[in-house]
This record gives sequence, structure tokens and C-alpha cells, in this order.
Amino acid sequence: MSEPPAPVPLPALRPTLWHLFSSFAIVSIFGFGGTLAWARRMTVDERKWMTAAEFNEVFALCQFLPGPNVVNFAVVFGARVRGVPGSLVAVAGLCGPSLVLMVILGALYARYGELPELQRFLGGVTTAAAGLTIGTMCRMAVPLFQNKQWVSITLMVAVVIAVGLLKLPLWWALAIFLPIGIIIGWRKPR
Amino acid sequence: MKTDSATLITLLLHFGLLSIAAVGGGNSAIPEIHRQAVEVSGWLTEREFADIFAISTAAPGPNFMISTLIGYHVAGPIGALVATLGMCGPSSVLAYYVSGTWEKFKYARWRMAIQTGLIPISIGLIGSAGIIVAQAADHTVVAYGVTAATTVITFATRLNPIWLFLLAGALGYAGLI
Repeated sequence: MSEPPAPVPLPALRPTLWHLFSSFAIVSIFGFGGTLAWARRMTVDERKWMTAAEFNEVFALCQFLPGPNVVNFAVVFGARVRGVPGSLVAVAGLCGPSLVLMVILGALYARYGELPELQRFLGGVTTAAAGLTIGTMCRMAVPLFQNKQWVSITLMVAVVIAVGLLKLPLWWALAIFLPIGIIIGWRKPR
Repeated sequence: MKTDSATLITLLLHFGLLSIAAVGGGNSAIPEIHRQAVEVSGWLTEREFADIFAISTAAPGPNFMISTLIGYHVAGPIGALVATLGMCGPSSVLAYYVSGTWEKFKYARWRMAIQTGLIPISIGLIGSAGIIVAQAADHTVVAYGVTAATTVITFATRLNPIWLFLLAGALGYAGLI
């Protein structure tokens, strides 16, 4: 881990390691439905650790990278203000409390998951969780329609059919669709 | 469930590979997590997968925590830790190194081409995740109705999803779904 952190101006207020840990822990605990929005509120609006423009830039990077976006954000932001320890502490703050919570919920589910009352309740929640995910997809697809990117829309629909309905393994889907996507992007960047 | 090191290594490899393959964010990995956990490994039944998806979505915290719950289900607390490390580790290392050189290729055409090309794929994968969960969870007309209504509400409003979860959970509890 000897790469220098990114050459980006440091935020006016530089958080300590403890601040990094506690702030990302708060993001994790209160981050209902979209932790990244909470991360923005914390770093930009409340603590003023970054400007909105800096956030947007880091956000673009985190979207570009694979893996959970909010974890990428913790890694990149932590590295910029406190180097490798900053990254580690931010990720630990982000994942630690949720990990503990998930172990508790997992244990409760293992013990009480078969209770008919809980089954009925969870069954109901799942129907809504599925709708939330499909609704999120629709929301994300709006810019494609606004910009009349019909080729990209066709690609998106093809992915839904291949992976969602025909259950194509992700590796096959990426092998087939990634080159097509990159060709589309190369011909018409942004 | 008995925990052996082979199971833990399988968990680590599975989620570690997914960490890099999850283009555009954690939820893109859900279809593959489902395929591996339910269809290939038999770690979970369809119903358990649907339950765990619901718990991880409704609970606070990053949405990739579904891998943590699956890790717990398969191999207890150690499994939860291993699955989480797998899901975050490789992508975090990549993020660290790429962020150091981001400035150099931020405006490169190939970078924009990849990013533009990834968008429809990651949206399609998230939609696929929703369809797969709906197939696992929805068995009645009312259930499909709730999924459709939640889809429309999520699309058209900024309502906090926790209210939708509570309402749908109450409907389920009352035996209406």
C-alpha cells in the first residue's frame, strides 16, 4: 500500500481517525434506503469535509469502480484525508455496526424464522422489497429515456431478460454485454 | 450448521469474485448471489433467500449486507465476517489504487466509454434482482399487487421505504398476502 493518495486538495476541516470511524458508523446505522445519500449529507452538508463538487467527483469514481459504492466512497475519502489508516477506519465504521446488527438479526432469524407470524410478516416485507428494487431500476432508467438512448435501453432490457428471466450467470452476462456496452459508450461517450 | 474451512473458503472466493463483478454497486450482484446460494450451492431455499433479502433491505446499513446474512446463515458469525470481507475486500483494494491515478484518466475516452457502457448493464442487473426476489416471494395476486404498488410508489414519490415495508409486513401478518 505505497501508492500516494490522490492529488486532490484536502478538505478545509480534516477529520481525525476517530471522527472518520464514528461518522461512517452513524451513516451505517441511520442509512435506511441508500447509505450513499447519508454519506453525502454527512461529509458535505454537516461536517463540511468536502465541497459538493469534490463529492460529485469522488462519487463518479465510486460508481465507475465495481463493488459496493458506499464502501468505495469510504475507502477513497478515508485515503484522501488520512491515508491507509483512514481508509481502514472509515470502512470499519461503515461495516462494523451493520455486521454486528446482521449477526444479531441472523441469529434471531435462525431461531424464530419458522414462526408462522414472522413468516407472514417477512413475506409481506419481501413483496415490498422487490417492488422497491424494481422501482429503483425504473428511476435509474429515466435519464436513458430522457436522452433517447434507445441502444442503451435495448441493452438494459436484454440484461433484464437474460439475467432476471433466463437466469444467465453473471459471468456470462458480463462477457456478452460488457463489450457491447463499451462499444456503445465509445461511439457516444456520455 | 457445521463450519469447516472449505465452506469458509468457498464463501470468501464467491463473494470476493462478486466484489469485482458487481458493476455499478452492490445490488448488481444480487442475481448472482441468488444463483449461487439457492441454485448452485443450496445454501438457502427460495423462501429463506427472500426472507434474508427482506431483512437486509429493511435493516439500516449498506445494502450489500445480504452477503453478511448469507455468510451467517451458512457458517455462523465467522461466516458473516468472511462474507463481508469477501464482498468489500477486493473492490476496496482496487478503489484505493485507482483513486490515486483517477486524475490521470478521468477524462480519458476509454474511461467514459466504460462508464457509459456500464450504466445500462448495472440498471438491468438491479431490475433483474427485483424480478428474482419477486419470483421468490410473490405467490398470490395480492402479493404481485403489493410489489407493483411499491414499484410505482418508489418510482413516483420520495416516500421513505420503511413505511412501505411496515405496511406490507402488516398486510402479511394479517394473512392478506
